[in-house]
Amino acid sequence: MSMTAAPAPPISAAGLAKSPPIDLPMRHFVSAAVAFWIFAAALAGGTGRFFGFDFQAKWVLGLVHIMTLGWITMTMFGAIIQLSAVLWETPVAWPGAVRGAWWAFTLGLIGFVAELWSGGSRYWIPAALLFGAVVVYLACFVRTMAAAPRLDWTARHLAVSVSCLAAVVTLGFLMAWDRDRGVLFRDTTGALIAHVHLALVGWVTLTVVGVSYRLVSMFALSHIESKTPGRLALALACAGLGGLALDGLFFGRRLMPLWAGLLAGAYLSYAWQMRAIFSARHRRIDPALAYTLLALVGGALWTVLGVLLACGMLPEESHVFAAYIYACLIGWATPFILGQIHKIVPFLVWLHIFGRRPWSAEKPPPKMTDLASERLAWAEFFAVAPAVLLGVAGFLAESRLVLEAGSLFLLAGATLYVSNTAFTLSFLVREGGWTGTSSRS
Amino acid sequence: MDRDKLAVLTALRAVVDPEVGLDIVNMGLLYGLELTPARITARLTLTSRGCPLGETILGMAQDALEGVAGEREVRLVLSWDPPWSPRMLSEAGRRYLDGY
Repeated sequence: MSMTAAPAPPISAAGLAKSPPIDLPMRHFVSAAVAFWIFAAALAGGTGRFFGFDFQAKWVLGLVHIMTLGWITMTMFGAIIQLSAVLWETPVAWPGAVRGAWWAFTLGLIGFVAELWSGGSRYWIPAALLFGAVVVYLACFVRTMAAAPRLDWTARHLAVSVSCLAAVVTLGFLMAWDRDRGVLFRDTTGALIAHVHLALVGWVTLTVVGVSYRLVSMFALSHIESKTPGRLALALACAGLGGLALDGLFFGRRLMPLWAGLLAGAYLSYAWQMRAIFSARHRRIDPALAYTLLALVGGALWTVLGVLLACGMLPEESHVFAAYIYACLIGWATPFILGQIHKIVPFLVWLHIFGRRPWSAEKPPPKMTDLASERLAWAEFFAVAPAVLLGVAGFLAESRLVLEAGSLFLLAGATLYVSNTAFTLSFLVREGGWTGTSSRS
Repeated sequence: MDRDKLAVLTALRAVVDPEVGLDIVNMGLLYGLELTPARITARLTLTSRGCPLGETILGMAQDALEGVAGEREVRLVLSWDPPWSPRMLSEAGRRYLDGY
């Protein structure tokens, strides 16, 4: 099938969806990098606050939200905005609203964490800003998906993950309202388990999984022969997550081992699909692909901890929960995000600076790899990898020393990541900033 | 291969995918080339629909062909049939990526 009907125009780029203005995804990636560094620095400086009598719930809650909202969700929003042209073959809807939502989200998060850390009681104000921002993001994503000519399997993952984000926000809102009333949720722990897993599995993991099929195979120059393991993974994940959420909310958490088993099966199927992608790759392992492999290890660790917790083989204690959450956020989501961002940010900068016509064979543009330091990226990888293992081990063993070592590795990794991102952005600054539309428009 | 076609192919070999570092001919993105006294028609594909570099690569190919077209019209036709896969990499392209 040709994209053009005779007589063809001189250049038939019709159907190629436009990328958004560069500031739109980039503002998300930059603020996410800052949040990642703040998280790592705060963790390194406050490991003692996680243990025993020194446990400070509000401090931990603030830290968790810097990680989940400031780093992970902010990056995922930016990536979805940038990738909408790739994933949904249509530009992201209402870019002006997205820009406004970024402001509300950023200010809301800063206010929310500041209130928690300062012991204030008015965190409903920034929380309302966050809530409003997420609603705007969701509306933009749903509108974009509705305009898509087709939804491939990556887009189907995102459709489910965006639905889960809506459920997370709604449930969080209802839990906050019900906190002093006790009308809606008799089992508050069950509701919290549902809330956390809708976020970690439904929103974060399904986005990572769906995007990984498209981006990892693209960056590895791999070709997926069979999607059966991936389809099975999605079905098992939806069944396991749906069952877990309903059981936690309404049925007293009676079948948790079953839901954990389904989710573990989903992870195994996903890992099998990724094995096929890596087996068929045509490129060497670079930092981005190495990070994906590290994420697979972290995901396996998270899955094992989840099954052991659900089956009662690990005690339901705060340090075990912390190990479980850490394995997900730092072991699974963070390495995957770091790997993909190492490709996406240089790509955006390259496209903005060098994608402009006229192009000349005498003075060809640089490669995208020239816009970032691979050596720095490898150093960062070798700092983050031990941080994953030491962090989980430190929480499980309740060892402040091991956790401190892990958090220092993470801080080193985050610092290198911020440095490498700044190096890439310096090309943009030298070329006149990031305002304006995409290079060829 | 006549000299004219060789010149056109050489021009297209200078169009390099900036992410992969390989030119579009060895990437297997060139599906067909038709040269007439009045027109150069190149049938190209992209590695995927909605390829973020699609517009840029097509623009580079257009510029490259205009550099050797003289008075002739340059026409690029974007084709998705068959969809690109890594099997379409040339032998030289595979060797390059193996060593990369």
